[in-house]
Amino acid sequence: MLEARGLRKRFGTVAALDGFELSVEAGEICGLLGHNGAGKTTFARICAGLERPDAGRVLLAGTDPSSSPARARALIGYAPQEIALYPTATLRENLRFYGGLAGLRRSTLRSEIAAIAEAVLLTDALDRPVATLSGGQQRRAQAATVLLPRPPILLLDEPTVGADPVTRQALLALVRERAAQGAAVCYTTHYLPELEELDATVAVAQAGRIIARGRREELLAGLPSTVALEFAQNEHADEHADEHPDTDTDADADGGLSFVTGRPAETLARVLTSLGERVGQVERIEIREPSLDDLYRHLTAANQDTAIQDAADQSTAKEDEHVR
Amino acid sequence: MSAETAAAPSIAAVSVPAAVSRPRRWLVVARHTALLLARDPGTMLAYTVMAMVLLTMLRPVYVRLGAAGGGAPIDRQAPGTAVMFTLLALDVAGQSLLSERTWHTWDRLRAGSVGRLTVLVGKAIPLTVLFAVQQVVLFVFADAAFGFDIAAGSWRLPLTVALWGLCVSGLGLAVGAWTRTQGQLSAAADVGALAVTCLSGSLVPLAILPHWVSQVAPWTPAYWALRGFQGAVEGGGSDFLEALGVLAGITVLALAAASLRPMPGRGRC
Repeated sequence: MLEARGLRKRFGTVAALDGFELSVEAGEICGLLGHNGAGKTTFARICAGLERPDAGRVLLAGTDPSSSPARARALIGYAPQEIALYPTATLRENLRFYGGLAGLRRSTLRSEIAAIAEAVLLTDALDRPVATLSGGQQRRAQAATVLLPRPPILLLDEPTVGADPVTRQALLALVRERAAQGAAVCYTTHYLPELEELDATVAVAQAGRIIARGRREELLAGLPSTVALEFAQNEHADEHADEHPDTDTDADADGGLSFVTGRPAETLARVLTSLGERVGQVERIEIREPSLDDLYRHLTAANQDTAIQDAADQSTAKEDEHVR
Repeated sequence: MSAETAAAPSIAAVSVPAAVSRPRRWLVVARHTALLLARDPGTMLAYTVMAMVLLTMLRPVYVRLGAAGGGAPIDRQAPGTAVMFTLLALDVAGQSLLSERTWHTWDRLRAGSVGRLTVLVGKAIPLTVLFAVQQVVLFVFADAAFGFDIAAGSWRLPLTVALWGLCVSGLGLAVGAWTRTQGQLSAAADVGALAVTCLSGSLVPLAILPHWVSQVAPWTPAYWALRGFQGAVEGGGSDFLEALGVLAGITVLALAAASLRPMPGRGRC
């Protein structure tokens, strides 16, 4: 439904996108992760027709925005990071305006507006000027204006920034519903637990390209788990950290001991055996599966290391050449 | 689908939207712009009331100058005042466009396949009506209070009112498109409007201004508006048609200037 191939985009000397590739199927929610400046927003703006790529192309349901911009844009619902509503108009008037532009008839607008307002918990705020709504309400109002026309492709750029838990849950439920109805959703966020709630696939962007893409389970499969133990007396933690030099072991000041391991069950059995009679000092045991946070840190750190190594290699090569 | 999602209100499934005709989009933007203008009527009300006050206060001056200009003094003063205060209201049109950027709604419109032409046409329609209403109120007041003969204008007066309203809308949208901040807009609109008013003879008749002003006047849109109004009241003729032709040309140029300006941001698609 949404396909980006080899996108490149520079702003002056900065390469915002550098070979960005991503495809999102109908009914899929793709969580797009990345540091600030990774290229997420530039990608969304290119898909929305607000920027032209220097190279590469985007296809929206088979339509190229550069050759059929009107047709392509009609397929997209784009929610930018910043609130983009008319503050002096009421929420109902904003919804009526954006719905009207998308081609919703007056006869259906009323019921559609009532339904979307109920879905984002804003029924009571429909006739209030947007400027008088709270930040969270404005965030939901913006999402409502984007979701109202039921576009088949949704680009949601950090839609829950600053949202309270109730707001967030309402938005996530609506996004899940739209995906279930067949929309392809590209969801940019820094709140990784949201992607688990959305049951989203994951794409990690760094330095203008996608460095990992797939289902969460697949991406998390290669990451180690953490076995954590808490002791009644602190000195045991330090002792046992020294006894297991073969694992990534860490003792904390509160008497905790954690092992980062690819085989958590084996490691736990080994640690408990080694404790002998002192096992009674263990107050709590926890095996933590790797999370998206771990994946994100792992991928971006690894990629950064590679980039640093590449830069060092290039520097060495230049020096060698200079010496020759 | 989770239980929470299933409990959400029923909303029709996603669909590829049907194409929306351009005139329909114009109407949607026009209706919305009219609504936003109606929410903040203070500036237009102020300019309309100020015009009536100035017309009243300067009436004795025009009566004394009447013999020099030819014709009834009010036939010169009422159109001049209308032209001046419509020009001063130019920043209302500029603000209408500038707000789309300060509210970040411009990108939403572009992403929603609303082209620049649609935005400009959709905004020009209610703005033209607004400026026309402002002029009509002033002319009705001048008619009732000072004997300005609206009836003598026949069909020509409404035509000139409409064209001048459209022209100011175009000029305001052009200024709104080429400025980036409220300060720039206010400076350009206020200084520009005042300069054009003075140089066109709208405030003070050209007959008593220095000769060089008469030579500069034809380069201002207000000069042609004034000639159009005077021609309308005096019975038309080639001068009237020429004035309308020039105003139409200025309007086209202004709208073209508004449409050609790349919007500030990170590029244009």
